[in-house]
Formats: sequence, structure tokens, C-alpha cells
Amino acid sequence: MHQPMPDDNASFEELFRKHFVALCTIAYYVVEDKDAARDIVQDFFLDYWSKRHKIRITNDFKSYATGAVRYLSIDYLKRSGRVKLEDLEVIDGLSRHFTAEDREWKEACYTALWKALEQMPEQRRKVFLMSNQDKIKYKDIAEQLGISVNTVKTHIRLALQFLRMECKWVMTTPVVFLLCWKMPLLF
Amino acid sequence: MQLPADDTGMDWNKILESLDEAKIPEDMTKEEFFAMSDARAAQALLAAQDFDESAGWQEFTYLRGQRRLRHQRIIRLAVAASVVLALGAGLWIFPPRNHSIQTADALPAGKVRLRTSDGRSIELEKQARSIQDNDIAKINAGGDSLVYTATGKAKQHGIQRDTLDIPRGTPFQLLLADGTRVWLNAESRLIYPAAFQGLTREVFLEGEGYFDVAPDPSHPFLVHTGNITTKVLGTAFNIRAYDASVVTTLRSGKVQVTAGSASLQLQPDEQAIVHTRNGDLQKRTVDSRDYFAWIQGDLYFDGATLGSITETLSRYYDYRFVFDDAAIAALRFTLDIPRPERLQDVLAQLNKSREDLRFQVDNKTITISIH
Repeated sequence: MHQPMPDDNASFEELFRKHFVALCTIAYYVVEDKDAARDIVQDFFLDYWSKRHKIRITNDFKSYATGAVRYLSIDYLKRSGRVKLEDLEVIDGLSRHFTAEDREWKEACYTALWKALEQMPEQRRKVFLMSNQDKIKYKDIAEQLGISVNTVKTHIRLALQFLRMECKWVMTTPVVFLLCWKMPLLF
Repeated sequence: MQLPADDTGMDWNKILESLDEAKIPEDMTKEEFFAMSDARAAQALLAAQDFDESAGWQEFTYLRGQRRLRHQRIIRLAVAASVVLALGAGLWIFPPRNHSIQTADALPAGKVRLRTSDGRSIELEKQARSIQDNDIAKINAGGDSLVYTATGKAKQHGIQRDTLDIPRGTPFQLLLADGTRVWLNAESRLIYPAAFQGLTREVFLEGEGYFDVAPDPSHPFLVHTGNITTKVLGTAFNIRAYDASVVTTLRSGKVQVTAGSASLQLQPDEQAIVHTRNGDLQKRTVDSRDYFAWIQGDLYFDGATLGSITETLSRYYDYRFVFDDAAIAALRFTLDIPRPERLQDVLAQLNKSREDLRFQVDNKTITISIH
């Protein structure tokens, strides 16, 4: 599919708005830092804008952007030096399972995630969100809620098992797994 | 102490610890790799609500401006000239169309609006975001729903009430802090506390709402609709209060409907009708799908008049209907379909049962006639 390059500001803005959040989410998946994720996506769009007369995207924009942002994110991690080289390879493999598409896709995922969260017992949801949204350590969650670290872990394990069962976005096939596992890094 | 392994044989302990430390576990098995991938996906999706496309676009235009200043001054004139040229060419190739046949494809433009007790007024976009996180409650919005989670430290705040307004368009879902689930239909309003306290749980409804009340016998749930009160101990029911009557339909459990001094109890599939003008209270048994189809996203009319059908359609699609002849409004139709996104598809369905119906669309007004 040939996608015409958006030359005018209005359609470029539309493209930007449609994909911005999903691309930030992909970058976040890799770098686990919200500000860094935003910067990476801004860099991508600035580059894309400046080359808009030269680039011809033969595939659709979505997969082009996803690939580029993933590459930039891995590159950022590499340059930051806070991740071991062999871990980079694993993160790259993991991130290939997370292909945020665009706004609609992300909304569907998000709705599915919250639907599943709503079905959990209140305490489990609270523990899960404290750990995964507020990034509070297990030890501190246990202290705040007056429960044992082990209970915190059990809650999170059960929450994750439930989410994997309930949410469609976790569907990954072993074939894809093998392919990306063996795939060398692109740089 | 270690967690027991589950049936996939994976070591959850390894995964949980690496998540807490933000590290990559060593030597993952295939199962562990997938579990890790899913855990990170959940985290990334939760982080998504902190990314805002409007803020992003603003930053982008600023950054782009910074760059452009450096080396694009000269090009500007050339660009301006080519734009003028392109505009001229466009007019020549695509002359403005004059009158043509319109179809009813416009989507309703109204936004769901939340007014929080601290005085903020927030238009809810489709995108997910966190709206509030204080010592009263956590509020998360996403898609067509809003989720309250009590943080449980609100004792000294007194009763704080939030107001949720649903415009014409899509119904909306709300999970209240006590676990009660509310579906609000188009053109409806609910006023409720961010976190419940005191002896009763009380909310105020205008329009139509379906309530699946979290059981809590020591804190009865009260829905006020004008001066009519529906009292619940843990049950599912629908209240329709669009026009001159308040219709309460019970799906399961037991409710008590009070209008002034009169009061009656409902069994499942029974319905209480209160005429708001004289406060007259009646009871009857009904086909409850008529009242519950909407929460499943369906349009359901069982031998309903076109007049009442178009009234419902105008709430979902924000179109106005005009009848060429009053007799047309009395025609009856039966329809049971998933509610289409566009009104045009509903009109096409109606046309299937009466081919001589004509729908003439003029902006947001539809004139119905018979040929």
C-alpha cells in the first residue's frame, strides 16, 4: 500500500495525533521512562517532517513508525548505558510482541485492560495498580497496606494471570516468538 | 518463602522480582518470556494515560519552529506561491458541488462532561487518562467508561458530589467507588459522591440509567429521580425518566419505589410507572428486553410507533425528525439489531420493512414522508 506523504500541516497534524500516544506507549515499553518516551517520539516526528519530501513509505505509516520508534528506543537504552547488551537483545525481542497500532487500537486495549481490572477483587486491583502504575516497590506496598510482601506478590501474580486470560492483546504465538527470538538486532 | 509454580511450570518468582527491580530476568523459558512480555505490555498501557496528543502536538510545533527558523526563511515565499497555485488548480479540478442527496452519516458531536466536587469541569475524550487521584478517590477514564476507586481517607470531607453529563450520542459506563456499575444512556445526567459515606448510598438521576448495585445491606442504595425515590439493597434495574413519567424496571433482586406518600415493591420483570404530573403510581409486568437491550448496545423496538422510535434515535444520533404527515408517526415497526454507528444504517433497516418510506436529510433534520 502506498501512503502519500502528508505535505500540508493539517493532514500531518492528523497523522501525528492519531499515532502519538500509541508510539509513546511503544517507546515506554522499551525505555520505561515517560519523559524519555515522549522525547523519542518527538525526535521521530521531527525527523519525519524534515524528510517529508524525500521519504516514500512503501508500507503503511503505522508499521514504519512502529519500527522506527522501537529502533530509536533501543538505541536510547544502548546509549544510556544502564542496560546490559544481552538484556537489550531480550528487550528488543519482547517489544516485538507489543505492536501498538494507533488510537483506536490503543483504546480497545485500554478498555479491555480496565474491564479486566474492574472484575478483580478490590484489594488485588489496588495492589496491582500501586506496583504497575505508581511503581511502588512490593516492600512499600506491603507496609502501606499492612499485608505481607508475599501476599503482595501473590496478588500481582494472580492479577497478571487473570489479565493474560482476559485480554486479547496478550495473544502471542510460538511461531512469532521463535522468529523474533532468533532475529539479530538491526544495529 | 517462594510462590508455588503454576501449571505452565514457569517461575513466577523470577518474573515478579525482576518486575519490582525493573530488571530483565536471566535464562527465561518460552512461557516466562511471554509472561514477561504481557506484564510489560500492561505497564505500558497503564502509562499510556499520561501521554497526551494535544500536549505532544504543541511541543512538536514549538520544536519544529525552532528548527525551521534556522534554515527555512528563503523557502517560505516559494511555498506561499505554490500554495496559491495549488489552490487554484484544486478549484479547477474539483468545482464546488452544488446540491446533492445527503445521507445521515454525521456522528454526534457532544462530549461527555464530568464536573468534580472541587469545581473542575472536564470534557472526556475517547483517550484514556487519569482524572483525579486524591485522598477521596481515584478516577480513571478510558473509552466509554469512568472508574472510581475509593482511597478511603475521605471521612472529614463531608459529602462531595460529582456530576456526569452524557450528551446525545453513545451510552456511557461508570463504576462507582462502592463497586456499583451504572450504564448511563444518551442525554442523561448522574450526580453521585466520589466516595460513599454515611448510612445510605444516594445518587440523583435524570434521563435513563441501568444500575447493577453492589450488595451492601447495611448501606441501602437510593436513586432519586425528581421526587421519586428507588431504594435498593443489591439488585439490577433500569430507570427511564426522559419524559412525563419515571419508569423503573426490575431485572433481579428487589426494589422499593416511593413517590410522595405512595410506595410499592417490585419483583423481577415488574415495572413501576410514576406520572410526574400527578404522582400517580402504577405497577405492571413487562417484556424486560425493551428496557435492558440498550446496555448491551442493541436497538430494540417491539411494535413501537415510528414516533417513539425516532425519539430514541434522536438521542443516539443527535438528529431531529419531522413527519410529513402525522399518520406516519403512528406506523409501527419491530427492530432488534446491534446499534449501528451511523443513523443511515438504521434508516436503511426501516426501509427494508417499508420500502415506500422516504427519509430526506437536510443537515441535522430528517423529514419522513411516504411515496
